[in-house]
Amino acid sequence: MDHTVAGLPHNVSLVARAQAGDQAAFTRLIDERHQQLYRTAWAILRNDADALDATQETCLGAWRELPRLRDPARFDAWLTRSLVNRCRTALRSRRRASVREVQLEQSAGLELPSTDRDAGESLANSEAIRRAFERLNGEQRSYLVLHYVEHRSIAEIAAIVSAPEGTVKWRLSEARRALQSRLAREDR
Amino acid sequence: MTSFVLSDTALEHALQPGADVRPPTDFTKQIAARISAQPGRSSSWPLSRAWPRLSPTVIQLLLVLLLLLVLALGAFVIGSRPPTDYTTRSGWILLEHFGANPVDGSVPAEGSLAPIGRSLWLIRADGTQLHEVTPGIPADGKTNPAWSRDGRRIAFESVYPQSLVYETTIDGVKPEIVGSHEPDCTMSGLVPCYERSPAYSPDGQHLVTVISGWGEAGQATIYLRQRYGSNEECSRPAGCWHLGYGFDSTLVSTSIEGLSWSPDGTQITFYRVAKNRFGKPLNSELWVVNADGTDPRVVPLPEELKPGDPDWSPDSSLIVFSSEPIHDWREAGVPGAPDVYTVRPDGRDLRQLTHDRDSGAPGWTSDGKILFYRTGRMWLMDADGSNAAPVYSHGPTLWSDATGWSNYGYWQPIP
Repeated sequence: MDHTVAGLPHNVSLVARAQAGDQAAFTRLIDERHQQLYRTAWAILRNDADALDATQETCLGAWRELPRLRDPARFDAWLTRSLVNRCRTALRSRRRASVREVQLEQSAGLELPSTDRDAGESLANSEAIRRAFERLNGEQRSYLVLHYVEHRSIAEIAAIVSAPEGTVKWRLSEARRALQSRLAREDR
Repeated sequence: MTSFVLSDTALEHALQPGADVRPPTDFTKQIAARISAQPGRSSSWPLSRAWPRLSPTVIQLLLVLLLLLVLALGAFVIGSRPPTDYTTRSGWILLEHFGANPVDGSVPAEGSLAPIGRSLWLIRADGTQLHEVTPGIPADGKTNPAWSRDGRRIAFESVYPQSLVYETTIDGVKPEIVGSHEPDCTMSGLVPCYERSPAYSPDGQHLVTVISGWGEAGQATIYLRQRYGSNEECSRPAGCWHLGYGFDSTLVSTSIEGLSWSPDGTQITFYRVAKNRFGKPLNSELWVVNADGTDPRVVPLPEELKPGDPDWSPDSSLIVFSSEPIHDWREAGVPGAPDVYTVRPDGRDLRQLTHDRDSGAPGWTSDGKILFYRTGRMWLMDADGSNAAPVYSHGPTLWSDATGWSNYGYWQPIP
């Protein structure tokens, strides 16, 4: 699957105009991307309020920092990196501050097809995966969401997180192992 | 629950947001309104975009003016340079680097200052011999370092995926985990737990750290351990005690930071900072607790100060601290305006040492001076705020692409 953000083509001139201070151009860039950004944030943070804050802060920060982006063609990776960093900061802040995790019963994950005769078990499995996912740290969550939910390639993720592809593969595999480990604990 | 294989499909189905997960319909409109309300960005920024529209004559005139300005500034700087010269002082300065720049040379997106990619560096007072402490080990970043009193060992906190306390030496031996190294440590019933912010006891045999977790207990603990302790809980003599506990709501939380053990061994200081769920600081308090774990108390200070980064004076009579500590305020994107203060542990004799709203991250040297950050450089001053001057006027500016962002410096106690 092609991703710039949500498969949008790069629009370098639009980014360049936004860099030069064109608010209308920037608003258009955001209008084309905000739904994708919000869903990515929600997938990592698992609740509406945090996802909205992260998306808003990312967009406002992008407006301030955009003139410093050297390569307009990298706008989407840059924007997604900013979003992921904000999500990680939010999660890390929760942990450093010893905040009890709020159980999110409003989770709106898609369920497996109801025609499946094991639908009940699948539902339970999905719940278990979500609970285990919510025990992961921000980095692990981000890698899993970018790859398994957004179907981004290793190369795309490497561009987003500014890391070598080998590092991304290793981090992704570690994240998956961590999730499996949490699931095993759920099982006990 | 029945065991099952974690397939890619199951993972995607479980984590995919539902179709009803979407931002408010007026999201873009709100953003547009907010950027319009912000102080404007010049449409001619960056300068390179306007440059081609200028005539050669105007460009030449601008260059001449720029040259004159540089000469005038140079004369001013030379004329106003303080007489104090700290470049001949012995010992290493330990610097905390705030994070790697992206490999493509672009400026990091806002928020990427913290925390992965952080590293520690050593530099001489004359700005020479800059080198990294154990590069890449551990691979998870280094932050919140502390010197042992003999100036030979350095304890620090790793960043990802789990904060752990490590120790290395001035010679750069491979860092070893000090304390718990279980992936999901269960000390104090906190699952999982994170060990952070180390500080040495004066005799170097103990470390005091913060352990936090987000299990049912939802609390942070100041924890004292033998320097090479096993996973035994709360080693003597101080035991452990809970201070950073809990949360007020999902919006406001507190954490314990910046431990410092008094040189006379009797007390430990730290600060508690309240943050919103995005890590933006709201307020903070300076605390002192006896080293035997008794009598934790808030140092009474004016509410507007928002103290942090405390450190004991060599005679244990004063605590130096900064208002709006950089680790919390600026890292969270809040434009903190720090200054450096000293105070007695009971709140008496509060004294403001700097007044420029860009001086912070203070720490004592073993001979009673104060090392602090000011506008891109490390500075030194006397305990009363006099004789403030950059440590190395001719060395590298820390706030640069070459050495990365760095606000925190720690002078080697005994060179």
